[in-house]
Amino acid sequence: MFPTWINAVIEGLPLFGEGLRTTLSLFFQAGVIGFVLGCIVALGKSRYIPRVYPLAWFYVELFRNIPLLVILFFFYYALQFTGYVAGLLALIAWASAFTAEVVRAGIESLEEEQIKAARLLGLSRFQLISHLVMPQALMRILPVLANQFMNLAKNTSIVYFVGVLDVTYAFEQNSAKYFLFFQFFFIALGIYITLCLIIIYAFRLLEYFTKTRRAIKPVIPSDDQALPEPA
Amino acid sequence: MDFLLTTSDLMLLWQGLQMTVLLACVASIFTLLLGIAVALYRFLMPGPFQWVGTLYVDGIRSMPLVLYLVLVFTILPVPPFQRAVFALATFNAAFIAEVIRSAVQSLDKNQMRAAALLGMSDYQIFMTIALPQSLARMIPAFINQFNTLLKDTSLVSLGTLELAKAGEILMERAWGHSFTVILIMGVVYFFVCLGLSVLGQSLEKVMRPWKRRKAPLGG
Repeated sequence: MFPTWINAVIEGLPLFGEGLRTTLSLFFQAGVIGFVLGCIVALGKSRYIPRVYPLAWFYVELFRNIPLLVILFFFYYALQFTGYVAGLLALIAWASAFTAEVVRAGIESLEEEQIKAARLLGLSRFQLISHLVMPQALMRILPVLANQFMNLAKNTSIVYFVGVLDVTYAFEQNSAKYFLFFQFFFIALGIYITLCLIIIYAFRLLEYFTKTRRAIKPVIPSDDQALPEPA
Repeated sequence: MDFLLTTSDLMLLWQGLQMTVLLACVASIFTLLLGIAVALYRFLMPGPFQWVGTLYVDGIRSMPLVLYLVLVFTILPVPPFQRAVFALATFNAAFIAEVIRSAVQSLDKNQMRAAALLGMSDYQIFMTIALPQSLARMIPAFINQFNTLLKDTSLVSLGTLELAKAGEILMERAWGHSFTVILIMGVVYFFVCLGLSVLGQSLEKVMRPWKRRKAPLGG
C-alpha cells in the first residue's frame, strides 16, 4: 500500500524532532535577546540614549556588513565556545544589528511635535521612551519585524556549519544515511515553512490586538468632526 | 603560539578573496538575468499558469539558504564553482523577481493602458516600459540583495575555496592564528560590503535626475 521508503522516513523522524528542539530554542533565545538588544541599540542610534551614537553606529555597521558565518567563526574558532553557544551569540549579534535598523526606522518616523509636547509636559527621558517613543515605533514596524523574525528563524540553520544538530543538519544526516534526498528535504522545508507561517500569523494577531486596543475615540471632538457633513 | 601569518597563509586568504569577488560577480549577473526572466514569466502568464512562478518564488523565499545549499550540493553533479553559482543565482533570483514585481505594481497603470492602446504586446510593454522604470526605481533594493549575496558567498564554502573557507582552513591548521585570521576576514568583508553600498548610493544619485524628470508638457 505504501511505498518502501516510508519506513526509512519514519525512522528518520526522531532526528528531526531533536533538530527542531535546537532550532526552536536558538530561535526563541536569539529572538528575545536580540530584540531587546536591538531596541537599545536603536535608541542609541537615534540619540534617545545620549553620547553612545558612534558606538551604536559601529555596532550596527559591523554586524550588518560581516557575513553571519564569519561572526559565527569568530565565536567558535577565536573565542572557542561550543557550537551551540557560538551559534546563539552569533545569531544574537546578527539579529540585534538588523532589528536595530528596523526599530530605528520606526523611531524616526515619529512626528517631532509629539516629542516636543512630551518635553513640554515634563516627561523624563525614560518616560518619553517607555510611554511614547517605543510603543508607537514598535506598532508602526510590526510587519517589518515579522519579516525580521522570519529571517532569524531561517538563519538559525547557520549552526549547521559548526556541527550543531538542528533541522538542516538532521536533513543532511538523514539523507546521507537513508539516501532519500527529496523526502527528507521536504520534511525540513515543511518545518521551516510552518515556523515562518506561525510567525506571520502571530504578528498579524499582535497587530490586530494593538490596533483594536488603540482605537479609542477622542473625548473632545476635533474641529472637522464638529462640522456637519457636506450634502 | 605564533600570532603572525606567513606569506603563504596570506596568499591563501588573497586567493579566497579573489574567489569570493569572482563568485559574487558571476552569481549577481545570473541572479539579475534569472530574476528578470521570472518576473517576465509572472507578468506574461495568464492566471492558470501563475502557480509555477508563485511556487518557485514563495518556496525559495521560505527556505533557509543553508538547507537549499545542502540539497544542491548533494544532488547536483557539476564542479563546485558552477554548483555555487547555480545555487546562489537560483536562490537570489526569487528575491529579485519579487522586487521587480512590486516595482512594476507601483508604476502608474495608465502607462500600461496607453501602451496597450498603442498596440504594444505584453512582452513589449514589460521590456520597454515596466522593466526599465522598475530597475531604476529599485536600485537600493537590488544593491541590498547583491550585498546579501556577497555575504552569502561565505556559505558556499561546502566545496569552493573562497574567503571564509580559506580562513577556516587556516584556523583549523593553527588555533593560535584564529584571532588574526578572523580579524583579517572581518575587515575584508566589512570593507568590500561597505564599498558595494557606497557604489549603490552613488549609482542612485546618478539615476536620480532621470528618475525625477517631469512630464515635458506639464501634464
